[in-house]
Amino acid sequence: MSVAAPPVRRRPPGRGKPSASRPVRPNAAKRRRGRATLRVVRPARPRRLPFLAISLFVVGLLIAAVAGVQAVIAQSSFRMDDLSRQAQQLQQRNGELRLEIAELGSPKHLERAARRMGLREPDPSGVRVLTVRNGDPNGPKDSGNSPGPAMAAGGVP
Amino acid sequence: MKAGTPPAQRLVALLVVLTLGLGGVLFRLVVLQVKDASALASMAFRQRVKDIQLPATRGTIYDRGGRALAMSLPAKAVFADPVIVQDRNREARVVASILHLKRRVVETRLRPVRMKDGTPVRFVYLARGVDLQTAARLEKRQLPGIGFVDESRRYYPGKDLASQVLGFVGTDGTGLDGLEAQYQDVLAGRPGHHVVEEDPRGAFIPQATNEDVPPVPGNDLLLTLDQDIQYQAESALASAVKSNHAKGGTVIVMNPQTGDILAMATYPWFDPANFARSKPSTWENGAVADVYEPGSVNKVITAAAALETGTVRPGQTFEIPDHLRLYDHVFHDAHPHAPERMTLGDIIAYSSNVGAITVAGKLGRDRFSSSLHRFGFAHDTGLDFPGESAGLLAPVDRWSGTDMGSIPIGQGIGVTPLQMASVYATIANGGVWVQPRLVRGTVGEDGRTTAGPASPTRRVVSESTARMVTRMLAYAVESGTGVEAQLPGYWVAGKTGTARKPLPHARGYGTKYMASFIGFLPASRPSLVIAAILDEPATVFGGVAAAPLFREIAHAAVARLRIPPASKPPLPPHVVRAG
Repeated sequence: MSVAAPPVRRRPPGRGKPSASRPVRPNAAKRRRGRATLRVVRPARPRRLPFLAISLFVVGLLIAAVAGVQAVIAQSSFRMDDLSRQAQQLQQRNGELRLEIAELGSPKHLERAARRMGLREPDPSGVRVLTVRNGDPNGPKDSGNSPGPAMAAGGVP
Repeated sequence: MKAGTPPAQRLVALLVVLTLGLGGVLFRLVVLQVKDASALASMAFRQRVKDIQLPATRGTIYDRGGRALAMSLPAKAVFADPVIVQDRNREARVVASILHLKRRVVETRLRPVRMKDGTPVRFVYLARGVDLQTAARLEKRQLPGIGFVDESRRYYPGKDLASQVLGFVGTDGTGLDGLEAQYQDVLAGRPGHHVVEEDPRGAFIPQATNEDVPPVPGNDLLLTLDQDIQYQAESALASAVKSNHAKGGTVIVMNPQTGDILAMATYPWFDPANFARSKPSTWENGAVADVYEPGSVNKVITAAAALETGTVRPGQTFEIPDHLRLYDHVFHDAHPHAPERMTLGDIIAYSSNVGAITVAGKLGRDRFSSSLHRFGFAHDTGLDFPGESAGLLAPVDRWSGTDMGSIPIGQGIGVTPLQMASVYATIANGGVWVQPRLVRGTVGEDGRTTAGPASPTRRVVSESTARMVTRMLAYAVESGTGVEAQLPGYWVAGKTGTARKPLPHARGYGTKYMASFIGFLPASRPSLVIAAILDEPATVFGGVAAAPLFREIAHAAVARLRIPPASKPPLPPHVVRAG
């Protein structure tokens, strides 16, 4: 492996301060005195006010939009919460009504209500059994389909 | 610091103090932000986040017509954290008045209590299954230390209707008995949960964590029970028990073709919504769990086996005395009579013990025992109902000599009412046994109905045997011991049973009886099998105590199901007192 030697910095010719030993040429001094003085002119500054205003406006707009959207989302969220609570209440009410229907339709309740209204159960001996053939109530009696024992004994009118 | 201390030193001292102070702050900051950061963050998260358990709605139990027999509604459990409770007396008064509880009980529960290790108890239930309106009224009072947990409450719209079949659920909504326990997995569903973030006031924070796992409701159960027939059967049973001064009773109504059980009840029953207030003995479904000696209703197996094996012909006659000695035991008919000639039809119709024992003797113990097994004795019915019994039937090689006298007349064996009803259902169904069932299917979350599997079947006796036995049973109702079961307009086939009850803690029999009547109608086209059994009635005979109960239930059931009458079955060969 070889190690490179550090480069030696040399002053480029004609740059930097003139050394004291270097002689000043009289012609050059005369030329300098005859020319106009040069000065560094700063480049014209671009106008930043509109850019800043636009930026602020855009950022403000974005913030307002985000805030608006957030507000809408929050509002919707609360509304959803309300609606789901309302749905839950309605479901509860629906369940209660179904329960009420089931309770009102239960045989025990119906019987009690019927008794309150003065209704009574039919007496088995008072039931008239019609014997028909092929579902035709006016058709002839089925001879084989004779009434049961109690009917045969005259238990049924 | 002294007043004379030079400013440089004071500045240095101030710098040191400030450096130390800031260093401490920095150190604490590092501890909070780096070392304990995750623990603190999770603690804050836990304080903010609320995981609300959402209980699954338990499935509804419907009768065969889609009418609810058991249903659940959302409810709240009210609990207290005694550590947070501030004014115990006032809070107890408010809670007690709104929840209709005893103030002293509430006050006791609100008292701070410590566990064995000294930790204070921070959760005490005050009430379970509180309806939402009541809970909301209490919640509005904002009592410190009083909290609420979502749960559901089970309601039984028919109150005590079919209570032993339906069973009941515990306070946590788990099925504990009956179908509620048997179908716990189907009915329970899967609970869900709702994770939200809340501010210190309890209002939820929108756009924060909001995880929602909805609960999956349980499936509904469609039963074979008919609410109206169940009610009529229960009403008839309750009045029969009262009018006969009986200890209790059991009724079963079933469809012999499908095995569907339309009604099943055991008196006394209970209110499943308040099961804890009733005697545990009333919770039992006696139709499947009670084992009893069936008595003469068992003669139908003796007759069917004799006919099926060709041991006895229907027209064959026997000389039957009113008593018969078998080894050391004398068996008697119910009433004394001179020896008379009887056919198998007469033996069944007039329920002759001596006749049945004579026929069984010709059949032989092996064939008779085999018939009992084929009809389902000593095996559970396959209903899989909690607490179902298989009955008691000793292996044939352990039968004593007198067993061939007692078993043919239904003594010395134990069966459940459902097993006995299944025997008659088999005869009614042309000799084919159909497994009884209580559940027709389930209804899923999507509303789709899944029908249960069809009941397994097996042929027990031939159709001709079943038809002949049916004629004998119809003869028993027309002019035998079962005349009280006659129903105007219909021909009924059935058999009475009057069985002595064995002594509970000793060998032998006491003076108490089980009276029963099991039959079906219309006899020539059976649509219904009804078993009516009374425990210890004052009038011991099945034909007097139980047959009217059968008739009453049959009357209600044929009207409800609009079962048309059918033709009269021909009488079996008979020689005794026909007509």
